[in-house]
Formats: sequence, C-alpha cells, structure tokens
Amino acid sequence: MNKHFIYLPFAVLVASLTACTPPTKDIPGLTSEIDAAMAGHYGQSMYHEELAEESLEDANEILEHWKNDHYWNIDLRQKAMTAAEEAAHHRKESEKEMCKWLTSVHSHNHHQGEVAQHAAAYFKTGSAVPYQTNHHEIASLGKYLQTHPDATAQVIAYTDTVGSAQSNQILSEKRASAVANMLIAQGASASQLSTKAQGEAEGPDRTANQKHRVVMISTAHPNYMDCPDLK
Amino acid sequence: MNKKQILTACMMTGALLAGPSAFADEHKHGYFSCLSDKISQGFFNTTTGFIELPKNIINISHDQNIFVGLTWGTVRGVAHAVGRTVVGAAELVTSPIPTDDYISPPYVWDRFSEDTRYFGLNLPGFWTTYGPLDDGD
Repeated sequence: MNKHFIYLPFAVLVASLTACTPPTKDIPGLTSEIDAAMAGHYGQSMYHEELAEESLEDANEILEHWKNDHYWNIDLRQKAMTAAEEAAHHRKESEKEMCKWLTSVHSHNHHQGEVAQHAAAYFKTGSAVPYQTNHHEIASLGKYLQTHPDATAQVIAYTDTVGSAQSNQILSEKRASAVANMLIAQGASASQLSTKAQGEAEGPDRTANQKHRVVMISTAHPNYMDCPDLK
Repeated sequence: MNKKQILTACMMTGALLAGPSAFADEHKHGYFSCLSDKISQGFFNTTTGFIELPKNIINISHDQNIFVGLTWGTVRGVAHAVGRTVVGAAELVTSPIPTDDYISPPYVWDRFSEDTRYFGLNLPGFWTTYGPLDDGD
C-alpha cells in the first residue's frame, strides 16, 4: 500500500482531534481579574452602584406593570419591595464606599498639625455670663466635633486685670466652663473638650480690657474624613 | 370571482393593512388608529385564538405540574380559545365603533404569562408565576 494513503488519513485524524480539544479555562486567573476590578473603595462603590441599578430596574419594571395593569395574575409585591429595598441598600453602600474613596483622595491635602482658633464669647468685667456670644461659630464647632469624633477642642478663658488674681482665676474657670457647656449643648462630647482657665491676661494691673475678657476655642483634627454624617 | 373569494380577499387586505398597528406605539390616538387597532385585533384574535390552549397548558404546567397543566390547563385553554375567538369576531363587527380593548392582552402572543381577561374579568383557576416563555420583561 502506498504510504500516502496511510499518512493522509492519519493527518486528518490528528487535525480532527486537535480541533476537538476543548478551549482552556483559567478560573483562578479570571477570578483574580474580577476581584481586582472590584477591589478598593472605588471598585466597591461601582459594584454596589451596579447592583443598585439592577434592583432599581426590577422595581421600576414592576411599577410599570402595576400602572398598566399588566400581569395582573402574578403576585409581584414581595419581589417589588425586595428589589426597592435592595436598591436603597446598595445605593447607600455605594455612597459610603465613595466617601471612603474621597477621604483617601482628599486626606493628602489635609494639614494635620494645623490648629484653628476662634473667639467664642466676650464678657463684662467680673461676669461669667457672656454678653456677646458667637452662636454661629459655637454651633458649627459643636456640630463639627459631633460628626468628627477624632477631632478635639480646647477652650481657653481669660480675664482682664481688674480684681485679685485669685478671683480672676476662678472667674476664668467659670467662663471656660460656660463655653464648654455651650459646645456640649451643640453636640460636642465632653471627652473631646479640654478647658484651660488662663486667669489674668498679660497687661498692666487693674486695667479693664475687653480683648482680655474672652474665651477662645482651639480645634485640632488629626484625621480627615469625607461625608462624616453618612452612617 | 365568487363571494367566498371576495370575502377572503377583503379579510387578507384588511389584515395586511392593519397588521403593522399591532406592533406600533400603544399610546397613539385617533379614530382611524382605533379602527385599525380593532380590525387588527379582531383579525388576529379570530385566527389565533386557539393558541390560548397551549398558552394555558404551558403556563399552568410551569406553575403547578404537567398533570394539572394537561387537565386544568386544557379546560381553561379551550375556554379561553373560544373566548378570544368570539371576542375577535366581536371586535371585527364593532370595529367602526371606537371602544376600549375588549380583551387583555390584546394579542395572544403579548405578555404570554398574563392570564387573559375579557372586559376586565378573568376566569377562575389562573396561574400565579411567570411562565417559561415570558419573564415579564
């Protein structure tokens, strides 16, 4: 028999078997690529957003059926409510992850060592009750401390030099305490506050000076956080 | 040309003219639109009403089991097939008079998982889940 008559069918057989070889699968490789696509706060935010979109689409579809009175024989209430709740849940999760991502992006610009000072209240000589209070400043600081638990504030009270040093020391303690209570009333935690009664400010003795009858607040915020209200 | 051929030609012409409206926007209005819709629905419901039989068997089998589908589904299917055919004939007859749809879904192939209703009324013993041929999209 001619050898060509053997080689040719053999080659066809080999080619056929090769063609029948199933395509290769790389499940670990693909899994790792998918995980990489969803990794990090931004990836998780997009992932939750996509799930929210899908759930929202389901809920809206059922809403359309109800409005048009389509598929009246199929009970879709449970499915609709579940889809709407899942959409809201994933949207919230997406927002949280997005805020974490924003925090990680913005925190590089945060000046950690920076301390801000604010004049909170002014007093009349010998009084621990402020006659002029910066309510807006105290309210915003109280809210800020409430939403940023890692931030702290120091309340520093001064008096002028009218009266004895001892009585002015006691007076400055009362003034500091009064302003600290105002901050607590606006949402700050007592553990975030430290009070410092400075007593008499520097200057000539027995001199009434409005600039010295003041309580200052210094705030420090070591860490940066976006969307602090989002729980 | 005898009367039967003329009638057949008229029916076919009407169906060809009205057919496209079966797939057109549902929200359009106007007398001629309503007329063509009713002619179209009348023609197709008269000629395709028998599809209610497999529709009921398929959907009830999927919802319950094959035995219920073949028994109860057949009973309902026959009832619906007769109902849709009769309603289709009524739509053809009353096509010049604009009215709301007599039957829902208007065509047997529309929303295949939706049980057919006549003037808003349904037959007892309907299925309660999407069938295999229609998931509500």
